[in-house]
Amino acid sequence: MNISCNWLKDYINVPSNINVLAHELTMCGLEIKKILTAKEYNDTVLEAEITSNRPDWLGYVGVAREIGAITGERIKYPEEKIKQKREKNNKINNVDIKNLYYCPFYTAVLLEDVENKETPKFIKDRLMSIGVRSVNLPVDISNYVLFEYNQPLHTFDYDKIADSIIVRQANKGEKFQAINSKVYELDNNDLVICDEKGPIAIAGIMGGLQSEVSFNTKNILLESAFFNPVAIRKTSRKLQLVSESSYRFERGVDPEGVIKASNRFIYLLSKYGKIGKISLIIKSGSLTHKKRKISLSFDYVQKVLGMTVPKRKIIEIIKKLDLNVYSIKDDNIVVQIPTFRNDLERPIDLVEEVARIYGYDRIPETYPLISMSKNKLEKSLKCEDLFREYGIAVGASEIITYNLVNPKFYEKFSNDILVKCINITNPSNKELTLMRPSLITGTLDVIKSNVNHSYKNLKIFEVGRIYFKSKNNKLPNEEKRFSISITGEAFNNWLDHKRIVNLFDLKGMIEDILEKINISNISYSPMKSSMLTNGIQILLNSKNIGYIGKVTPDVIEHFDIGQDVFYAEISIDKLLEDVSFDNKYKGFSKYPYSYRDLSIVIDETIKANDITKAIRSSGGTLIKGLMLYDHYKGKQIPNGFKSLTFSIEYQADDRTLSHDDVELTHDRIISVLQNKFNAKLRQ
Amino acid sequence: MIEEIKNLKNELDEKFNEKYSIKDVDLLRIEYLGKKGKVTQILRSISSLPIDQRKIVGNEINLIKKAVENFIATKRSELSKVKDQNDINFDFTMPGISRQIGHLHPITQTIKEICDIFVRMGFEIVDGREIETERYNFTALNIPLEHSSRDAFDTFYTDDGNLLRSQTSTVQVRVMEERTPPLRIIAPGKVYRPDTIDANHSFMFHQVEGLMVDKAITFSDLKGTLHLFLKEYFGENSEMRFRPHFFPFTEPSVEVDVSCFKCKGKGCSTCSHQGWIEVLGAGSVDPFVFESAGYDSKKYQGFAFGLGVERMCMLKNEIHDIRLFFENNLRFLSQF
Repeated sequence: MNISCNWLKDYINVPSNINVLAHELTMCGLEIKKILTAKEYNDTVLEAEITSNRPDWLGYVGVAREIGAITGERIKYPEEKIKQKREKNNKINNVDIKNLYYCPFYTAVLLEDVENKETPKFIKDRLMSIGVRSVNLPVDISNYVLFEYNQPLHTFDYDKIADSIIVRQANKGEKFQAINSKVYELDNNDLVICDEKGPIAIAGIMGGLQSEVSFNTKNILLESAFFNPVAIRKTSRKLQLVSESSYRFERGVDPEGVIKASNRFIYLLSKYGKIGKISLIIKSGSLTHKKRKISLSFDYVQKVLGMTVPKRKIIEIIKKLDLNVYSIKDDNIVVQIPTFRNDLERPIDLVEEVARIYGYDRIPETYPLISMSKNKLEKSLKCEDLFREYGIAVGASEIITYNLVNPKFYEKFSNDILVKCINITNPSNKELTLMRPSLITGTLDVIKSNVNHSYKNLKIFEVGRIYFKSKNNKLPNEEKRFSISITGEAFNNWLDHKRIVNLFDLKGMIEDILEKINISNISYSPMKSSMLTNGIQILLNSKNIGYIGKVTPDVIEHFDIGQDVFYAEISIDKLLEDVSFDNKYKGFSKYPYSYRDLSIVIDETIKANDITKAIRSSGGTLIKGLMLYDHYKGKQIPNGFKSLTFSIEYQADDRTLSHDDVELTHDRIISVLQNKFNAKLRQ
Repeated sequence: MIEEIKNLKNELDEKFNEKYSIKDVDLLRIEYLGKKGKVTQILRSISSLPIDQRKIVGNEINLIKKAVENFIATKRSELSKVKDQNDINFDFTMPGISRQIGHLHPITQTIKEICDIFVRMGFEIVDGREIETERYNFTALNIPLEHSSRDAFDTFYTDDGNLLRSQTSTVQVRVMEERTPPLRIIAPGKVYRPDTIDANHSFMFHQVEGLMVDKAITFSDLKGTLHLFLKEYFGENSEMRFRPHFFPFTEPSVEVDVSCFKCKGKGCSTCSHQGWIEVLGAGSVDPFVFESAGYDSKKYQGFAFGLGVERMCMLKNEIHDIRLFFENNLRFLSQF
């Protein structure tokens, strides 16, 4: 809300240094964001941010009251005594409220033979300085009073409405054209003010175009009411129609301000215009606001704040805030809460009042005394960290992408997954509506944008969640995943040979990471996927924990990447129970070792893993290391065959291996490979 | 045999004058001193000689063996000295070969830095759900349905009737329902609000929530704890300012400002010429929240705070656009 300083001065003495005032208000919780100079109005305007618990600060009287609490100055309330006599009228004498929950209290006054004049300059200036357009005298005054008391008023051109006033819920489908010329379709949950023909206002939000007051209006029906904040809020949100009035009603206005504001309007209109006849106030409903009493124990203030505020200070603050002291005892004070401070309900609320006026800066800094406790680090959090740590160790950089994704990709490549997915019903971006079922789209988006910025050699990973609907109406499943992807050249330096990355680069990175968190028993099996060619499932003790593969050309084209990408995703949650931080030392042999190379030619359908298994089982415990260091097809190797070369490290735990030991074992391995796989030694 | 030794001597004299590389020295050793080497063979055959010749031949051949050994030792040390000499054409300015270590995302690093500070103070890190119920995100936190206090928490709703948490405070009631005091927890994580994306707003961002509960945790304890944290994060000279504010789930509530670490409070563009920068929201836990979680609000007191990770990271690293975090341009990421 914007606050004109010239205007504010009507209700309280304002310190001459506005900067000091703004600072002090801010330090009491009424935050002044900016101090603006309004040259054309010779005014200074404070731009305030008002928290939702303090609707009273949406009116000048409330702001003045706060300044009074700071400076001790007395507040000057607006003049509202009407000298002109009210007269009975026989045109309208009742307002019919059909739903007292939506509208507990409604007042109307009929002002007849109104003579309009030009709005006085000071009213115009003050309204305009805070961004409110001047319309005509009655409308300007109703706005003026709204800002004074935080009580919205509405004026109807009485000659354009048909006699009786009814406050009721709208009928379903009922249409209404508001002052802003837009037509709104209403339903049962909306409250409307009606005459005999239909709605003349959406209660508390906006009046109708048809009954709008103009400069020539002769007879005015003045509305001042109290509407249910929840009802106003619902309608305002549904219609996406927010006004100064709805903003205030949904935060709650002061019940005692209803009549005061009505009187103030009449006072101002008769002062700056002229009113022929003023009716009695036509009231309907009632406001049974019992004035709340709160007992605040002085000890409690100390217990919450951790400091002692002197008793007399507490009492002084309560009084300066315009709260009523009902009784004071040795250990407590009973405070009666005025209707304009509906936010104060419990002793703790008064503690805050005392603290903020006394000054948060006077509260000392202390350290809590708290006993030691068993603080664990959840395993899944620890694992997330480890995946990140080893992710960067294998050369990948971490990315964080949006968990809301575009469903288009899945519609095209994995449509059946969508029935299990969670969708957002009110997305802020029409494309990002799906809670991701995989990390792949985020990764590919990142690759695309980097490649577009000619950053073509990438190794990236992400640790994040995916989401699926759960059965039995429980909360959805959130599963933690690790994704890793590589593309472009493997090396980018002068020493290593240039080459493009390979699926096995990625497989190796994953194996390195899994080894670091003590995951063994990993095996692989081929899988079919619409997103990956040469897809491999990663199995942990035959449980599927993830996959690796080359992204298919179709997907690459969908993302417009233009180069090969390899992608893997692992479920952190699924391998969690197998992760171990328990490392037992195993002794190693101190006897010399010897290396032998073994180069064989085999049928190309035979899997490398079958060969290594055979080597290990026939070599037994003497084999301490086994590495496949060459894979070759082509010249010198017949079609349909491939050559594999291994380096085998032999070592015994209990003795120096003799030449014969090694030769014997090596020969045994060769003969096993010859018999089992029809392997030929390569010379 | 004498003849053989003579020939060997001559042969060696010639050999000793040749040019040697380390490999040649090794070959020489094998040729003469190896298992089947010429010297070795003569030494082995001594036992088959008549006794009177054994000593003479023995002495001779041992002298030769010594000579070869000496020669090898000298050559080796000479050659190794040659090896240690710098190549005048060696270009030490060639770039080193990078091991290509990856980079942790700056958000991850910031979360870690924040959490580490609190863990050193004895807080425990806990995790929280992202898809939540109305209860944990709102009603249990004293934010009733259709109440204007919801304005600050615009929220995404899911088609299965839940919502994406708009704040990490959801963790407060979840943890309190599971545990009994004393509590000292921090909960980092993602939160979501349907904001339009611009330099300062993102519909997804990160927060760290803190909560401490025991029988006598005071507002002044909150002040002490947060100031410790801010000094650790922004520097020892950081000043702190508590400004009254409103949050439905804390009372009293506060917005916390830190003195601008760049201009030391004089006013600059980082602090919008205020000298102060708003960094987090906090307060004493509202008794309503305790009651929602099944705690006796007469028995327990506590404080809670929440801070925006992106904001903390942007301030410290002088990043001016929140979108950079989620674009994941490697030219950005590789700076951290």
